[in-house]
Amino acid sequence: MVIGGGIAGIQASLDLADMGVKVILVEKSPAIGGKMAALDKNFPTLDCSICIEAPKMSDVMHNPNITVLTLAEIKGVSGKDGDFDVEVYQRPRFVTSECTACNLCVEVCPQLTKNEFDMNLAARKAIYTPFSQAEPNTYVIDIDTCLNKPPNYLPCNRCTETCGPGAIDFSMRPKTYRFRVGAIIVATGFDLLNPELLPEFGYGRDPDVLSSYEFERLLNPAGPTEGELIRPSDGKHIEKLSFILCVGSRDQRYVPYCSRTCCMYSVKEAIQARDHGIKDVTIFYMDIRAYGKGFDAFYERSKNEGVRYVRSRPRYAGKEDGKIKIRYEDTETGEIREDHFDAVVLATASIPSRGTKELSKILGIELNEYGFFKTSFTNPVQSTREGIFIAGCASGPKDIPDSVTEASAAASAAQRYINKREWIEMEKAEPLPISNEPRIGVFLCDCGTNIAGVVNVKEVAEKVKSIPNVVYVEENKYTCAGSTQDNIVKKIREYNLNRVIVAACSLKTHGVTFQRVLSRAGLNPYLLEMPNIRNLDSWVHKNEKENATKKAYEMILMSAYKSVYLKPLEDLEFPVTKRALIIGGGPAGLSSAIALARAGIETHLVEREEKLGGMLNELTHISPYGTDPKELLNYLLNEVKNLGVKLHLSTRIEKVSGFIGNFNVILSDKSTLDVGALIIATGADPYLPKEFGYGNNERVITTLDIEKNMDIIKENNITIISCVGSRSNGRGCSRFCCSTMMNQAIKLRERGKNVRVIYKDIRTYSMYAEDLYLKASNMGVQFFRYDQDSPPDKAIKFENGNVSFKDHLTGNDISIPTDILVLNIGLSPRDDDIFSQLTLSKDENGFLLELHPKLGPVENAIAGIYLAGTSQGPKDVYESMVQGFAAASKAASVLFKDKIKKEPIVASIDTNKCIKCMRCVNVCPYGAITGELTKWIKHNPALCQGCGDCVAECPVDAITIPNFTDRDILAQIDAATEVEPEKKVIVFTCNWCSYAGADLAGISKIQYPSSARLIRVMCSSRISQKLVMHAFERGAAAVAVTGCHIGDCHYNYANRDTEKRFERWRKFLAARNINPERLQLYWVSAAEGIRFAQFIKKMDEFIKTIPKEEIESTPKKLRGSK
Amino acid sequence: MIVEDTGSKMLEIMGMGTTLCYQCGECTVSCPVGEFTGEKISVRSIIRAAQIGQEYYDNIWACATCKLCENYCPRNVDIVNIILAVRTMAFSKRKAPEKIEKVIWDIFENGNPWGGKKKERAKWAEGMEIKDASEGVDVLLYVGCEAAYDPKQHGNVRSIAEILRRAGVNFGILGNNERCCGEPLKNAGEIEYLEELVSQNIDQFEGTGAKIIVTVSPHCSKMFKEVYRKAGLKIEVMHYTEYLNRLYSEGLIKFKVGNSENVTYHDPCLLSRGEGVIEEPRDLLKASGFKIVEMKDYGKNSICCGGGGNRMFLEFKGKRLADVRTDQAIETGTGIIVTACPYCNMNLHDSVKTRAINIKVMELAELLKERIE
Repeated sequence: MVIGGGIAGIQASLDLADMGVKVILVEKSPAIGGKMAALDKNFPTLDCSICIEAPKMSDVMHNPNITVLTLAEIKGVSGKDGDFDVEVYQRPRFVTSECTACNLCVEVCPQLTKNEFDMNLAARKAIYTPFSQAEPNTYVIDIDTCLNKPPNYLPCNRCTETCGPGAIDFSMRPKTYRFRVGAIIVATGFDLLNPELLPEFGYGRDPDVLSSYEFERLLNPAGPTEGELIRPSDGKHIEKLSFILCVGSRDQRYVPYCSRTCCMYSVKEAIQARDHGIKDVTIFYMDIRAYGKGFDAFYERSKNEGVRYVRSRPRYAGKEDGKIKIRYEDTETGEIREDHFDAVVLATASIPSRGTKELSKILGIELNEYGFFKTSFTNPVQSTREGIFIAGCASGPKDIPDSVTEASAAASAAQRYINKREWIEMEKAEPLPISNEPRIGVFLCDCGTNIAGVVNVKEVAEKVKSIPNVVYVEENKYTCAGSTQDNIVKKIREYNLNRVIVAACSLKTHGVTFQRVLSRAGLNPYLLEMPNIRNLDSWVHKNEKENATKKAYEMILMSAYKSVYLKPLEDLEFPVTKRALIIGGGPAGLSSAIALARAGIETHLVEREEKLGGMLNELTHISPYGTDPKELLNYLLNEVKNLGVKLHLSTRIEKVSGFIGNFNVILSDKSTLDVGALIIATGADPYLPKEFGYGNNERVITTLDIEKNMDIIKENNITIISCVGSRSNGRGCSRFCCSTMMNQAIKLRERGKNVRVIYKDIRTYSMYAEDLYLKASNMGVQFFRYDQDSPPDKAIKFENGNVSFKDHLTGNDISIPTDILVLNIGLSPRDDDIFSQLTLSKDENGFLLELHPKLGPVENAIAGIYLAGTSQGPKDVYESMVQGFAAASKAASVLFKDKIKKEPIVASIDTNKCIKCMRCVNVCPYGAITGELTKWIKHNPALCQGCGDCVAECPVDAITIPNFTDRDILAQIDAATEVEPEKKVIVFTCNWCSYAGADLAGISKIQYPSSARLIRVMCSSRISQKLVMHAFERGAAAVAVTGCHIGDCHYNYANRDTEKRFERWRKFLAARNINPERLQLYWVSAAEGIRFAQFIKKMDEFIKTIPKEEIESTPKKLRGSK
Repeated sequence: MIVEDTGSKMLEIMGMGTTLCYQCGECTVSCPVGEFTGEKISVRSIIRAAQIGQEYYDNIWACATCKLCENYCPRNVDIVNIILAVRTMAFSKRKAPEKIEKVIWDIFENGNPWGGKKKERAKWAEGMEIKDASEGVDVLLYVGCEAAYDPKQHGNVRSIAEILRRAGVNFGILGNNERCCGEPLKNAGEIEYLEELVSQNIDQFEGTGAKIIVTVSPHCSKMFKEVYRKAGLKIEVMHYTEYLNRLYSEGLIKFKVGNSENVTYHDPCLLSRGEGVIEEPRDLLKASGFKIVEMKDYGKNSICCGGGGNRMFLEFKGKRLADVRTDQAIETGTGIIVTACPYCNMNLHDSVKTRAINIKVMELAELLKERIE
């Protein structure tokens, strides 16, 4: 059982279900999604929050292993680990699953109340859905607001009367369920401190003082202001905005701990505010805690984008001329100032969620001193009771990736109480006989007014009917509604449809949904096409209704032409070697090994040193929890031994190859090992400083030196410099060092030393670390702040027993008598041969790159390989252990299965056509093609990721990728250029970045001209000369190839090949006297909606300058060359 | 700036509380002296200098010790005591203002900071025949220097004595033998003489056999409750508002309910923030039939009259804090500002008089006496 349906609960449920475990997910509110669903964007990726969460929500709802109970709470628990008896109370929804989400009931409902999802900034009715993507999407009646609240002498019943399917049922009663479950995961999240408690910031007295979560809703296009940043007091646009950090956090009067996320979401909100055109954005801070991966770079980015930072805790000083007066002291200059802002956003503290205390009593588990659920120091997701685990913010504030990692870790811990595993296949109808004749059904979505408000859907529908092979056309208010989905299933069978076009929104968010619909109808899911007439059309051309209508038709035409060539595809299946290999025996690797061995999986662990433990052997204290590393190591070693993990000590990996389920490893002792999954826990190296003459001057030592043995310090005056090797020269924060340093400073102080710390920002972000900072301060450790923008050896000098620098808290040059200088060091990435053998990508700092920084922190782009510990980025011992457990969860879900499935979008080589030139072998980013010049060629579909780089490289058209064949793409080009090709730009987009960027431009409603026709492929490297030239031959004004920025490519730098080819194509054009400028290469990330829109605008302006003759003569010039 | 052995000496002198501060600057912007008088005062810089051992005496004498900054300090730093410790440093280096040195001499020679004569200390009590506490009493009424020597305050002290008498309390005063409680010494940083004075006063108080000391000024009661307690004073200490409230709740005083008049109440900072006495004076006002209309800032968030921290003895430029308060009082639309501290009483009176504002300033006891049954 999982309690709490936020992102942690969702992830834990999905992981468990994937391990074959039956899950009951209990959520208190009417919908799952939690706080993440209400956020506009995530840091530092600027992903649209709901867009990346919604697919997970939908997976939860459709996973046959997961039962979701909303409006439900736990009432009682008895039994013990392995066999709990849980009582669940469910409040009535008053709306049945017959609901089609048509919204008519909402329109007639007379009762208004505050909209909690919009942080009470807007209103909702008594019958409502919390947000448009809510799951379950059945509406709900808030009976306390409803006029039918008993005793209702005069029933209102307006909704009942309006509801077509009769889904409203006021006779619903509360239900009580009893479940027998093996383990319980608590993922109940957090709440926010009421900022009214801090009168110094004016919240509650002034409507223009907002909380950060309120501001998120203002930023959101689906929020109360439709994404307009306006002042609640008078509706005027905000022109000058400030953020105040640490509102209630790090405050002895409220919550002493750091809330961990506020710095970064405020930095993110500030960047967004600048993007929204707010000229003047100021952040008032004390320490910017950009401790996570990529956070420091994001912080720097915000500065470059003009966000002003002032180190100060300001004060609300009333309204003056309609503006908020803020008084503050710039603590770096000592100036006391007054400034006026249109609005102020408060980053309020995270506190335990309401009901935590009661739940702890019901579950019989303890809370920590701050009221969050207490967890164990040997397993950070273990509660104080066996069989009950805690994930996410329920045990203390955390960001999304840390919560998700804990969720996976909790899942891996919980699954060991389960004996029976089952993977229920999705219901499948009897397969439809596929006739040779294509029979296309088109379902056009109004998306309420999102599409129909701009595009004349009726007109389009009428025109679509005459497209060849289209046999059925239907317009829907919301095509994605559950009832419409059922209707599509019916229509497919009724009309014998064998191709389905859903002209609606993005397949990135809804592709899986409609693929399922096809499966349910007995149709192969790969026979679906989704022209995105919302994000790529109606949302971005709202002022060009006529052109948008034309474009919508052409987009459908492109899909129709392509769909004729679509082939039913079957998922690939491969057997799984049920054995795991963990590389690295530090705390992360040991944790992975323990979790996997507990799951009954044969687990091997390779360690290059002669003993296990990694950094645990070097430490004398684990900060901030104060655990003894020896004790922890002994515990881990005992477990590993008792569970029978097979150890390979003093061993290295000689060679590794293979793919998910089937890796082949040769060890340095020449033995071989076949495994189904790999966990990379190779760790990182302590930074070896060159600064301050370390190594040559015995008075200069590191925090690691004193960690090993503090007795080396005999002298009295100790100065510690933080961020040596971190946060400069492009390197990010190392996370754990501030906390380690605090502990050492305290110990040195206890020994009577004079201790001085020179820091950039104090980043004691974890639950007890801020306490250490407080304790160190209280014990007389003196803190100095040095220049933010300089590396330590530039800002600080150590000469003649004195450390001198400019103290940024007094503005004075300071000199400190220093006997021993301690350099506080972080971690450097450690390289390993196997990284290149496995083609693992690295981030900009050289650590291994995870699948997704938010939702895939322990996964890798390559399936079957998981990341744990500091190989992925600096972290402390506990974070490493959690990641170790989480990686084990992912590996276990592969290894429990007999077979592994894979999307069939992989290349296939026609060996007859193939001339064995090896060009494809050389470009394949995954080593999926092997061969020998002129002799033989072999393609391994298991390794292939389907980028199509080889297809574009092949000189004889011997390689194809299903769904992205030349024929498919040429058909789309033909459709796009059928009318007025001279006014069009053919834009090839890659699935991951530029298409997603175009999607985002839509989500952000950024307007751009309607001349572009987008063709989606998996990677820009799929685009070949043939395709580009075909577009020109067909008379297109311009062609653009777009993809991920270099370094961001989803297929290990395949887009570098695109870059090379592009140069050739341009030369090809120039040689034929065709203006090469008409071909453009442009990189757009998934986050760069604005950049995409600006590019299209530029292209549109450009094509208007191309002489008619140039375009008209092009096909001839090209044909002539053939 | 080269600092020899940065800060360790300072740490020894001031204890480690200074390094607790993480330098956010909230104290600076919540300081009413800085906010309203136009003076640029960086409280944070004072603390910063103290924590790293630099000599920095800018504006340390402007502090009213009102503790408003401590209300908002996220790290519970003992700000006012740190400032007083810095004053100690300054005083020992003879960097205190001249006027402060004169005040100390006055206390040494005459037992009060105002230059009043010893033999005139009990002049206020003329004709009341109040018992000499040295004869043995239950309650020692400690008058304090300001109330004893400022004729405008005599009415109030007499009212307190009158109420005590009507309640049948066995009380007395030290008469001309009463000496300053030493608060001005503490505020000046003259710690050595303060210690001497405190121990002499304790001997004198204990000699009366009193079980309770009742003070007219919250400045005195705060001294007794903290500094004297630490130095060994055993007797219970109460500000008169606390004591009268106790008498009322015990039924020893009763009020005739007069006209339900609107008043506003100015919390003396030492009483409200310093001693947590916020409800007692209000309860007394309500019990005697008054209606309280609160000012914009009240209770724990009240703004100082400007008299604390030895500001009474010094001259400052810019807008006076008492004016800020009387402005706020005018906004309440009531006719009377009630207060319960001789400093506040005097500063508010001055503000009303010099600006010719139409509002009355009264001490709580004066008002209550009229309604005692």
